[in-house]
Amino acid sequence: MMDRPKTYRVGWLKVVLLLSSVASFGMLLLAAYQENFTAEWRTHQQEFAHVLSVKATAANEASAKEGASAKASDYPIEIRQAFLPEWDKVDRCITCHVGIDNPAMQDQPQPLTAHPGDILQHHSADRYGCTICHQGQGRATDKEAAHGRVPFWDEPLLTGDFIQSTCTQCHHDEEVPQAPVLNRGRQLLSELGCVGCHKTGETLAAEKVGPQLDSVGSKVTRKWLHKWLADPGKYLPKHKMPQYPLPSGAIDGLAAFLMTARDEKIDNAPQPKGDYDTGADIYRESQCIVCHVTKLDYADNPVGGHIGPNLMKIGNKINQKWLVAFFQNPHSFLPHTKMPGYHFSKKEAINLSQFAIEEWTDYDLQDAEAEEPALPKGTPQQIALGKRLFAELDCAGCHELKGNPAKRDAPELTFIGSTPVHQLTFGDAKVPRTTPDFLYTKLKSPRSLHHKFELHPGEDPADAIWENLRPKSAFSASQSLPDGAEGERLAWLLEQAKKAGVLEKQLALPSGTTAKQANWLVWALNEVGALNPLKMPDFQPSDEDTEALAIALMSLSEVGAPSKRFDAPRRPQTVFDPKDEFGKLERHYRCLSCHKIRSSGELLASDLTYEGNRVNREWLYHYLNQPYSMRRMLTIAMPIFHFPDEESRLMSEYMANVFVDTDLGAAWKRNRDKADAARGKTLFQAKGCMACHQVNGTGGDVGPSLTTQVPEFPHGTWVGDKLKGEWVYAWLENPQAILPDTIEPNLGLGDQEILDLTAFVLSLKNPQFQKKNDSDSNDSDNDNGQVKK
Amino acid sequence: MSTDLKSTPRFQQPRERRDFLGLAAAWSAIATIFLALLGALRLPSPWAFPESSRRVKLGPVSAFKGISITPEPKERLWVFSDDKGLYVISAVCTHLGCVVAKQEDGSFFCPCHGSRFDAEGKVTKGPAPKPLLHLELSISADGQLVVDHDKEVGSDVRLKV
Amino acid sequence: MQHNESDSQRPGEAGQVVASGALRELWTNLLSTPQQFFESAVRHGRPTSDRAASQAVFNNVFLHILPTRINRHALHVRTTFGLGVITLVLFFLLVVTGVALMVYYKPSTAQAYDSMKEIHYIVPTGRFMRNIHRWSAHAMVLAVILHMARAFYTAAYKGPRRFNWVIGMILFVLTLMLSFTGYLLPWDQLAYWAVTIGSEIAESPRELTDALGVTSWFDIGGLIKRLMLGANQVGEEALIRFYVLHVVVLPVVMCIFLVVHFWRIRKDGGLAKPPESTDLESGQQSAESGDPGAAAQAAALEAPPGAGGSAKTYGLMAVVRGRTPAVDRSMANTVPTWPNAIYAIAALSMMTFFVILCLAHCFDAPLKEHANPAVPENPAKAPWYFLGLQELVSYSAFMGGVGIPTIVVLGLMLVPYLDREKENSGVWFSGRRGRRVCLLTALMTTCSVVGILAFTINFGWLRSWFPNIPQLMITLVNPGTVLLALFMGWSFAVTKQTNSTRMGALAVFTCFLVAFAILTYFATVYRGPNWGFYWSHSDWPVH
Repeated sequence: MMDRPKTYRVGWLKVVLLLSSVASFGMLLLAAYQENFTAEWRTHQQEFAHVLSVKATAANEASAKEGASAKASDYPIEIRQAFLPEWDKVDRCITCHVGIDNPAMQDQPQPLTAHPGDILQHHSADRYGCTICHQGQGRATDKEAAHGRVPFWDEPLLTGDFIQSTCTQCHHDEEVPQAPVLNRGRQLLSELGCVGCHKTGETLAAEKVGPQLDSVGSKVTRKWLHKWLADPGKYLPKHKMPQYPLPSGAIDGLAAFLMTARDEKIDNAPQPKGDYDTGADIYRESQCIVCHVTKLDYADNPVGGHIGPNLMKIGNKINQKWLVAFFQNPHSFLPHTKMPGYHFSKKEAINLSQFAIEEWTDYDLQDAEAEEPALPKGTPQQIALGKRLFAELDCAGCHELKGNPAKRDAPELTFIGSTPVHQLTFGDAKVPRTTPDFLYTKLKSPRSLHHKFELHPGEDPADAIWENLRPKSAFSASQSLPDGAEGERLAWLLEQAKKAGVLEKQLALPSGTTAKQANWLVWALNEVGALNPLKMPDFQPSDEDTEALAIALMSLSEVGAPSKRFDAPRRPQTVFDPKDEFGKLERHYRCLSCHKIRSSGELLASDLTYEGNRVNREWLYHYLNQPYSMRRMLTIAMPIFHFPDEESRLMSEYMANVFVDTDLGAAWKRNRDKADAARGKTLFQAKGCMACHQVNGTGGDVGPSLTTQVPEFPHGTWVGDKLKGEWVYAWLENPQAILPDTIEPNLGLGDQEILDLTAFVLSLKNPQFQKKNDSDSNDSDNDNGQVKK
Repeated sequence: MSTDLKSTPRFQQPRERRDFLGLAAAWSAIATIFLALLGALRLPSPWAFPESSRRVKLGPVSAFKGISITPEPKERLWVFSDDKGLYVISAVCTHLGCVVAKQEDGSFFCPCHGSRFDAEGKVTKGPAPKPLLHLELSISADGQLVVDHDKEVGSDVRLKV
Repeated sequence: MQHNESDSQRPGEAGQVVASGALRELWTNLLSTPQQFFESAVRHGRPTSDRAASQAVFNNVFLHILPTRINRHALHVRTTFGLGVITLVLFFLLVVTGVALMVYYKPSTAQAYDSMKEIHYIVPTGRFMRNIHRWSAHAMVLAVILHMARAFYTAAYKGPRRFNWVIGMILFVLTLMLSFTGYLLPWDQLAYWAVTIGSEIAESPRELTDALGVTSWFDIGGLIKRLMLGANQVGEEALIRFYVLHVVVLPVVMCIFLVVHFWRIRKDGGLAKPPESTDLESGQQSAESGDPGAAAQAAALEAPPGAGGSAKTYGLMAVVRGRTPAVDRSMANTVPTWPNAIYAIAALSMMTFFVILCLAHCFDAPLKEHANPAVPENPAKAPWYFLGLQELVSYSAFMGGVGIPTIVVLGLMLVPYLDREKENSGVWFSGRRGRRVCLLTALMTTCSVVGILAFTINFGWLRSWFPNIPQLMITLVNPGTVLLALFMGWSFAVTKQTNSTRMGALAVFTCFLVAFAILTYFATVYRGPNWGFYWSHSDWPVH
């Protein structure tokens, strides 16, 4: 009998092989199918092809435009990309956003919609791609990855106005075109004084934004200073200085220290006593209201400008002696101020100060304060504490004070826009981990992104608390944590906190273990922010300002264009700052605070760039001495500076000769003999000019009156007396070319019409001055000394 | 011996049933490997090359109207404008790919092997096998002139503008 | 073939030339070429007979590493779990996908990261290839470790297989090196910082040379680091060196050692199998029952287990039909390689392939941010198989990174030479006694590892109590060396107690395996930023 050999059952292996082969086969087919047929971008392109053919059918065009005669099946479904080797980028956004450069796609939803605005005309998608401006992950081909909202991609798509933060890679102008929020943010960065504590590279100016404190002891009352340091908002609703969370002891110290900064001359001057009414006249002439809030209207709303501080309670704050010194020479106290230097004599200063003190005092507040006990002078300890605090809090970042240099040791922001996200401290906040979110939240509420102080296991609680009590100067100057039992040390800490005014007097350590007491103390101190080492104050900016600031900070980035080839052409910055006599006068009177000259200055008043083309120099000379309002409804005009005669002569001559563009209105000079004022008069009525301009009392008040009457003025004040033909011609031809934001309409007049209208306008001369003006020949023959024909 | 040794049972080939399971398993394994290889053969052909697109925007159409010849050296072509419209001649020699030079009389000359082409691109001399390519022009939706390097058109085709 | 002249140019009746004999031959040959081609390539018939089956294996260049008949127990799952085959299949997948990736990957610091992104997004099958590559790499390390454990626990290092065990350890080290050189290549944060740490570990012999004061003229650490990096810091040079190592040098070396490894399997008597598979009684049965021929092959196949390795020459001497004397092995326990082993290997390969495909389809290989030398990862964690070492490195760079791994590898290599007890290979844990020893050892290891970790977390180590202690003390006395000493002591104790080197070997290997697993798990789950201890991920300090 033969034993059967033991067999090996191989059948099950065949089953395993079969099943796993079939499963693998299926897997491969599935992967191939998904890759080649169901990718997101294919769907979008098919949709696009469909939309194109629908639009083509609807438009029934037969031109060679893409999409006009396209059948949906003709449209190639493929990956599309912008290949940018210099930037090391390949942007495949247009694979899904296929309609981005097709204006016909404006009505489509994302992702097929066309790009808004005219940006693509300046930066075409195929030469610049998309991620340069929008960020995101250009190489990706699915939506989430491409938008960069995936782990390990640090530059997700920028949302909303944050797109403006990338313009500065190529645009190096101060004002970036089509980036208004960025421009505002950059302006705010210098206005709010961030640069005082944070270094931001040389893109921003480094002037200190707060007033200098060298003579603050002579300037303000002690009581006011205390209140101001504790809560600026009580005095000024809109205040630039942020409220620092300081314990009362610290405030006492700071105030004591600052009050020692005095100016002997001011202190020793006699107490001024001026005349209220004379002061009022000076006030009216000086037009303080243009820059300062100086009165309330019937509804108690502030009236006045917001360029300078609100003066309504200045009498409660300021020492009149200081005011007298100030008026005589404002620039010595505030070197960078926009306030004109005026040139008040001592008497005028005294009178004006009398008016100011009497007019702008809150008498209720004054009475209430009189009830309060007087504040004593600071003790030497308080003064020393104040000096230490001044340094610790780096007040010198915003305020100049001799002998106290700024440390500027806040985190450097020069490249904050390109800092890797995981180097930013988010703390426990539930904020998306992106740089724009960080910046926005930090600006809005700095403490929300910071770690609360916590005790760590293994460290001594009393030591840890002592190290982290803030402000340090208020607690640790000459003291050190005593040795001894833990409980005693904690109690001592509690006493120090109470003495400094950080904690309420009635608080006491709970009974129990020292651990429990330590935890309680930490909690109590955290509640009042005394253990939070964050120095940055809470500026509480508005939402719009916060966003603008965040965008401006985002733009501070290391990332730039790979070569100078990409730099946008810089607009010529003709900063107006001449070194001649006129420049000296401008720097004294600060003309640029209200006027624009070339690209410098403000447009509160007129643009003086072409003043030489515009006005008759005689008129200008008289106007500088005696400014008046051109509009019936407007009482505010240029301040009466009472210029010395040489100064007004110099200024009018200078402007007449220098602020000139020889090409402006050249057509007038060539063709004025063909102009007909009578025809112009007809045109004036036909074109509706009187809707905005007045003539002899009839007409609208939108634009300036053409026949202003100023009885005492030694020169004609009608438009024909004041303006020059070449400028009127250029203005009528294209107002926006001279003043981009003017509401004067461009009526598209023909050349002859403009000539005629100009002639008519020039014919509007005040008859009282005709004889005088004839000899002055104030027609455009006066241009730059050209010889009369 | 009466029986042939070879006819004894021991020498008979054992009857084989077709091993369906085994064959199925083997063939499905082979098919899977084959499919994997086929798939892998697609690897060297990426969906996008690290190069600019073949359809290139040359600029706004208005910039080309009325200018009889506009060279585009980066794209290696010329844009011509005659009274019938616009057309493009590629500067790539059809022989072996060198860049031809335009002569003053309008003809083209290739320095590599001496091919000559007339003003329309027809071969007049040399080893070039085909005339210079006329490439397809179109106008994009935002008004730009677009040339497609991958599409040829006849030499009499014009883009009307 | 005779050329019939008379046939060739015979004038026909009608004056035509009839097709000559040679031309007709030509035509017939052309028609039968496909079949002829197949027969010339495959020289055996359809493998319907045992002989043909044997020839299908013996005559095939790819298959002839396998024996023509294989012991059926070798094909049982529980013998080896197919781990060797799995490892090989994974290696093969790695090579194929690796070459595919090489078509697009660019080994330059400026282009490496971007080329990875391109592979993921615009290369057809690119994402798939990369995922297969990554998951196969992880799986291969795991398979290699399990394969090593299997070989050890079934005492497959005994006898003539001692040398193959050493080769296997070398392959293990090569696998880890291939993995290490591979993950620098994407040039992302993980890559950059992992290699920075690796290069610092390479420099760690300075701990010793500094203590001995010889660094100025014998700076082996610095030398190795500079050779690795081609510079002082990880950069362009390191990338290209690692690339060359990863795609050429290490794979070639690996292949050479693999060839030796497989050759030795055959020479050493095939896979280690349990003793019943070599039952001599069953060997009395004749091979003639149903299996014509090939009896002599079976006899010549395997070396007897524990026989001290008389090297048998192998060759197909004769094919004998009929009853043969079973000398010391029974053919009854063998089965033809074709088709049984072929099916086994094919099924195992396809299953492995399927599992990897599923992983590749469902999980993307991670890619962190672009490498940024200014921003260290925190925590910078190595891949899982190095995490245990990283834990030890946190105590002493030299010991954790160089010392202990070297000692462990050398020690494991030494085991077969220290434990030469005659024993039945193929018995898991060498029987009940071995099982007890392993269980006890596992318990002891768990307690000691967890204990020492808990101790260091709560109380620190030497420097926390003696701030001025010299570095050499810490290098020599740290949790890693303490554990090492403990394990060695334990295995000596076991050896003495059980009076068996095999038991001691089992103990020491179990110590290593369990400690590796626990340290790896610990470092994965409980280590956070600054390598601090955190109970859970949610406790990690956010920033």
